[in-house]
Amino acid sequence: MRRTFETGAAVAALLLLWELLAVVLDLEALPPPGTAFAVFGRDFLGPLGWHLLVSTYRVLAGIALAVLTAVPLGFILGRNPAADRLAAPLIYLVYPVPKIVLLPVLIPLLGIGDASKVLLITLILFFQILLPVRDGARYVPAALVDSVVSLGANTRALYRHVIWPAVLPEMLTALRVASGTAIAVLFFAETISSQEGLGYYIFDALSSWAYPEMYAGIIAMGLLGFLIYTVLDWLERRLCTWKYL
Amino acid sequence: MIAVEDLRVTFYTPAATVAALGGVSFRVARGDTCAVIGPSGCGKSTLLYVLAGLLRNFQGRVVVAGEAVKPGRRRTALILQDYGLLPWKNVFANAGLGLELRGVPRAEREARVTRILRELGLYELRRLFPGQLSGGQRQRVAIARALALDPDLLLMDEPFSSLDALTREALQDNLLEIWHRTGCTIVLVTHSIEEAAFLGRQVVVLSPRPGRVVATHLNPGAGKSSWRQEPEFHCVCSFLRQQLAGGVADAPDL
Repeated sequence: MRRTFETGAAVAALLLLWELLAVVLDLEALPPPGTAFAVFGRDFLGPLGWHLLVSTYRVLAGIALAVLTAVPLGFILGRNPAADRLAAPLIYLVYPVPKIVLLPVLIPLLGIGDASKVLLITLILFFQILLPVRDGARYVPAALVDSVVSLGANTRALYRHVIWPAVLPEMLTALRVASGTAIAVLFFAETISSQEGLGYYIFDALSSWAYPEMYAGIIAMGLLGFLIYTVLDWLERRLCTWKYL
Repeated sequence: MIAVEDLRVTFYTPAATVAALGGVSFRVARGDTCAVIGPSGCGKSTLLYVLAGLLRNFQGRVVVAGEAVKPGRRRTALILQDYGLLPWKNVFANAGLGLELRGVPRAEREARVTRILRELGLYELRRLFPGQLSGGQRQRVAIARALALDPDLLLMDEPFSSLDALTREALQDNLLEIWHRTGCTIVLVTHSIEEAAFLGRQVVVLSPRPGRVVATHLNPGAGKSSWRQEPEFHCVCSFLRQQLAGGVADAPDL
């Protein structure tokens, strides 16, 4: 209830600022929020809703794929120093490369549809999840591991009861930080090589000077980010109760 | 129950070779209690790790219940210094973890954990997480988790050293009750002279690293809660203090 109120207040403040700026600047490129929301309402059940759906699918699929690949690898590297010594230089070399530069490679391979966008997001999130998971798995207190092993845990049980719950909060935090980047990169990828998605919708509106449409697209993008953060927040509170006592 | 003969443990790190235990021998009869006491870093914890089967890289002979020590012995329970409770599981789940790992069916597990939590006065706390408990409560949960496994050998590392005096004595009395009721063998490692003299019917005094046995003291008075008030208890304490000081060559005034 309190959170709902705070979220509402934040949205109201943002809209007020927007309205003020629109009135003061009086530019065609900055229509007041009312105009943008009118278009948003009009298009939401039409093209805009579809583009939002496409982008949401791409981000969620990218997150899922990144989690499914980075978490097991992070576990292995975190718990096996020898494997980590082999893999670490490679990871540190590839990690800082802006993954967007791979777009020209991904598009000929996977086409301009969903697959290239999903994989791009996966690539970005993969490293952002891999490192905290690896470090988290490595620094699980030895006493916890020892006492659970002494209770009769095999390797699988150790991962399930100790390592995974220990790295989960860090993974969710990493995911939250990284999904902002992921949405930004998705936008960029959709503007240069797509016929679908919010990036395409916004850029299309921008290039035809349809500013209210552009802002409707931006509102949709904000919604997408808000949705992802809300889900991650909810997951963290639900799965990591013990952190918030 | 336990026979340790000439146990030596050496840790090899890239930086140094550290001898933790330099030939330790002692025996503990089934159903008896033994306290191992020594200065910090004398390898007491290492000794427990060996007895628990967690540390296999040792020389010498270690027999537990008639067999060479090996990992995964089902009736050995280990309680580590910081109790080893999982912060993300509540009291009930923590106490039932050992049973869960051993594949005990849920209904039986819940019945056993409920009974043990009630016995230890923890049932009201069952939904709390370790972070919400006091040190004494956490230690009791760790004991509950160990007892749920119906152990015949209970290994404890500094069980009560971080607790305040009153809680410590209450829990020591608690442990004695458990010992009387279950008849399990208890080996505990401590740096507290009073704790060793109160709980150990046999007290093994170790020297500084590499730990060797300075003295093995039979202490038959231990095992009843009135022992703490008896004059002999204090005699044992000062005897142990002397033995410890004798083992610490560079600190004769300990």
